[in-house]
Amino acid sequence: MLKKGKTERFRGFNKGKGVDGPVAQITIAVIMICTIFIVMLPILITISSSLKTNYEAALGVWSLPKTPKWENWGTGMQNIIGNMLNSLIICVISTAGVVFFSSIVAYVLVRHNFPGKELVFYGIIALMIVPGVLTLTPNFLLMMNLGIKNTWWALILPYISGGQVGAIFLFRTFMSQQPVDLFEAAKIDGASDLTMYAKIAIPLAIPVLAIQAVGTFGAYYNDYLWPMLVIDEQSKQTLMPVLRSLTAQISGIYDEQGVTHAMYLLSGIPLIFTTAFGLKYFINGDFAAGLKL
Amino acid sequence: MINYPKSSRGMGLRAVIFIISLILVIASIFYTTKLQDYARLVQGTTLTTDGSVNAVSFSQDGSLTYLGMRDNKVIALDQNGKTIWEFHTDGPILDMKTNGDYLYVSDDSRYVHVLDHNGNQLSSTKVGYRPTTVAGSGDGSRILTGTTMSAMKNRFQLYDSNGEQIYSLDPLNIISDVYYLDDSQHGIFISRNASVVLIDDEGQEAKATKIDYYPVDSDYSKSDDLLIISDEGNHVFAFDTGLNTLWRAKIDQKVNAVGIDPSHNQIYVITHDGIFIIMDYEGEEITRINVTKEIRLLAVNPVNGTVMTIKGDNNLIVYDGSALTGFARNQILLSIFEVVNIILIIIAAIAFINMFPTISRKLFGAVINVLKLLYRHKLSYVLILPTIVLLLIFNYYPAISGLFIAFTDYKPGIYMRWVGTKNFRTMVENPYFWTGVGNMLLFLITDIIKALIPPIFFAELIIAMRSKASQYWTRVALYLPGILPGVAGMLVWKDGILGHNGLINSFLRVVGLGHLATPWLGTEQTAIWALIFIGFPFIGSYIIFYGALIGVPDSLFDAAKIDGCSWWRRIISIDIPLISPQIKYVFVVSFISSVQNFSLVYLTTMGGPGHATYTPILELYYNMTKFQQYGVAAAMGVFLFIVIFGATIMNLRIQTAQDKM
Repeated sequence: MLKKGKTERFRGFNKGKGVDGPVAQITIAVIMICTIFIVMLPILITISSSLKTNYEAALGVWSLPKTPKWENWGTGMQNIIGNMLNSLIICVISTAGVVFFSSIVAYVLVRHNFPGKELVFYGIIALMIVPGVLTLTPNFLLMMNLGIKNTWWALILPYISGGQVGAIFLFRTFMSQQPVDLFEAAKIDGASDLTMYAKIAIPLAIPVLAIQAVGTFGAYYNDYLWPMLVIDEQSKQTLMPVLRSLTAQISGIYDEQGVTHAMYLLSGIPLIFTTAFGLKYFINGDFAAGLKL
Repeated sequence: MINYPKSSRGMGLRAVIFIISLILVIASIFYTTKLQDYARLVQGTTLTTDGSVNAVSFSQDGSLTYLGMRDNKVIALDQNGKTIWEFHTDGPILDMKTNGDYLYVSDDSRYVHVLDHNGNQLSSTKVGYRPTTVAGSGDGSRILTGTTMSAMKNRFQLYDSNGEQIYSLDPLNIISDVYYLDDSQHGIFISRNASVVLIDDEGQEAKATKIDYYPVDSDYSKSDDLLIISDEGNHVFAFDTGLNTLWRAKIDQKVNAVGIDPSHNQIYVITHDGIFIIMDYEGEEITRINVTKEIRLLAVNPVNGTVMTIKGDNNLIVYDGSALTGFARNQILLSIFEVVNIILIIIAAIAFINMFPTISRKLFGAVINVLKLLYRHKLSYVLILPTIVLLLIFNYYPAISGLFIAFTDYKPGIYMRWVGTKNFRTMVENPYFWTGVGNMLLFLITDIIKALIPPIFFAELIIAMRSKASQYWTRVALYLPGILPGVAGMLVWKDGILGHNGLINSFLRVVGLGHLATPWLGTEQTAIWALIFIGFPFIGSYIIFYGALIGVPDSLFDAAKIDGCSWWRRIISIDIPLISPQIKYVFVVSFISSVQNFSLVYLTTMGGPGHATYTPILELYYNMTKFQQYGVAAAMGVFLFIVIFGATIMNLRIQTAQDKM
């Protein structure tokens, strides 16, 4: 009796109250608004600081620029554009390579039967337990011995190679869920293997390809340690490793603190595009189902 | 296949073919290891002397090395580096040369000395100016010296063994080097105005010639009648003792020193950038070896070709002559023999199988079947080939060679020596290593907490919102900060938020707690906690957990609600078990990235203040870049790999244990 009564009481409590109740909902809203504000804070500070004059900057972080000094953005952009283009070229080539090769291999692993298929698959997956830190030194020495240190090859080749491991795993999981009937029907209609890859497998896999591409691009664009190790000349370097030294260099020339923050902010331009592009695929978290260990 | 079996052939012939191929394999492998030994000898051994070395010479039989020191003495060392005798002078040694049994020494107190190989002083002669260079005849009867007082006051003087001056000439410029020829009738001097002059014992100029620029270094081999001089235009000139130019060679780098090795008929050139160039007597480059920078002096033992170089002030590096000679030839031979070995092993294996006709027929049949099978699936293999090749080169090879390099002392392109666990000991003996490991563990624990608790909490809060639209816009708003690159974000945190005039300090000042304001990253006690605080409020992978929670069937939530389960209770006992695959995923990913997180510390504190925020990955980076200790760096990589591997294994065990339940 007692048990039943307790349950009744809770049921009643939960109907209009509990987590769905107005108090809880308002609390959640307040917490989330505060969180969003704090999460946005670094960007807000950067935007506000990037538009300040030196005098305004001296007033403290809280002060807002009276009249935005847009010239800071122009100056900042001028100083990062060269390295940013390097980054863009390298990241686009690497991302395209990763997605292209991985999707082919994933397709072959799912739709083809050939001797040694298991070996190839586990051979690729086994690399997931090899962290970058183990291969850092030997890979660096490999670049030296191949004579490609201080060239873009030292970035692009390892990027394409290393990025494939996770991508193949993800694509394979996804492609194995594509209905077999589609492929069998296409085969009866005389479609070749490559046609099926290009016309059926890839279009169906667009969301997962997009997620992988956005993730890979972001990871390589943000990569710091590897380019710093293998590229010696600033003119060949990607943006992230030189961002700090670029800001240090220009602060002597322009003596405008705002320019530094403008450079931080503008260095994210490519990520604005990938974020906007990836938003649609990321925001529902559908991909989470595939992330299992 | 050369030895394809014909069953009619006798067993004897097959056995002979096998034995011959086996012998070839063994011989070839044996030779390969010998070649590898040569390459290892090129590293050189380092001797450290008490003072700075000004000049080096060798005794006639090559058994003694004479070092002319800046602190007023000549030291004779035997082959093992043991001091045999010392000879003290009144001034720093300026130059030394051996001829026959005699060692000619000049010192800054304006004396030239003649010593025998036991260090006995045969004569000492006072010369007028500072004797910057000295030489003498093989019988001890003539002492030749170039002396200087100032740019305009220079002498070229010849003395006999009694200290009587035979002649004294004005060479019109500072003399950089003198040699006394083996015909006992001529001397040669090289002066700073790029003249090379041959003078007979009467003081008459027999021949004079010019080089292109100021002389840098020279060497003379009396047995080969060869004089070589390098100049500041990076040329190397070769003359015979009649001062006829034999050849001239242009070096593509700044030349620091030259030497003749008569025992191997080679010429050695060391450049400013630490390249050791080996040339033959015709001036053709044989090979170049990357040694070490800052070598300023080079001397060759004429008997065994041992090369003695002096780096910086007092680092003597000794290179084995025969190893240097063998190096170039060996590098080519080595690569050929490595291929030959593989071919021979295959041939031997085929020959071995060939001895048993029934088995071999089956085996070769099977091989052909496999090849046919592989050919039938050629499209599949062609499509995966690029990936396989890339992964083998850039992932498998480094992973395996990393485990190997960790146990070696590796200088790229020069040598690789097995050193056992020395690199690991070096790593552990670093006094800051354990501080680093402690910091790493602190980062690791906090990173995992940050990656799991707040994101799950925020994901639950979003799910708990009743309005779908506000759910959506909250997710979007939380996703947007991704537009600031990690490096830029870190720099903003460093200066804008945690800095001296950053957000936190100015906030503290506004609320009247100004006395608490401190440079958070620059204070030893707060630095590591400030680093941990970066990224607050750690929304992290909320979207993964959100996605996973959305996947939980609504019926479960409803059932929980009906059972009167509170929100917290539901999270703990229903949601978390259901999203445990994603929790494991985030756990492993954040574990791996935490151990490998380099930019966080490098961009903000560089391990400081003091060593308060030092981490192993930072030390790894310094070992690779600053110290070029690749072996130690690889050992640290292996150590961090083991740490990470531990997490993966632990995770797998939890998983299998759960599967069994």
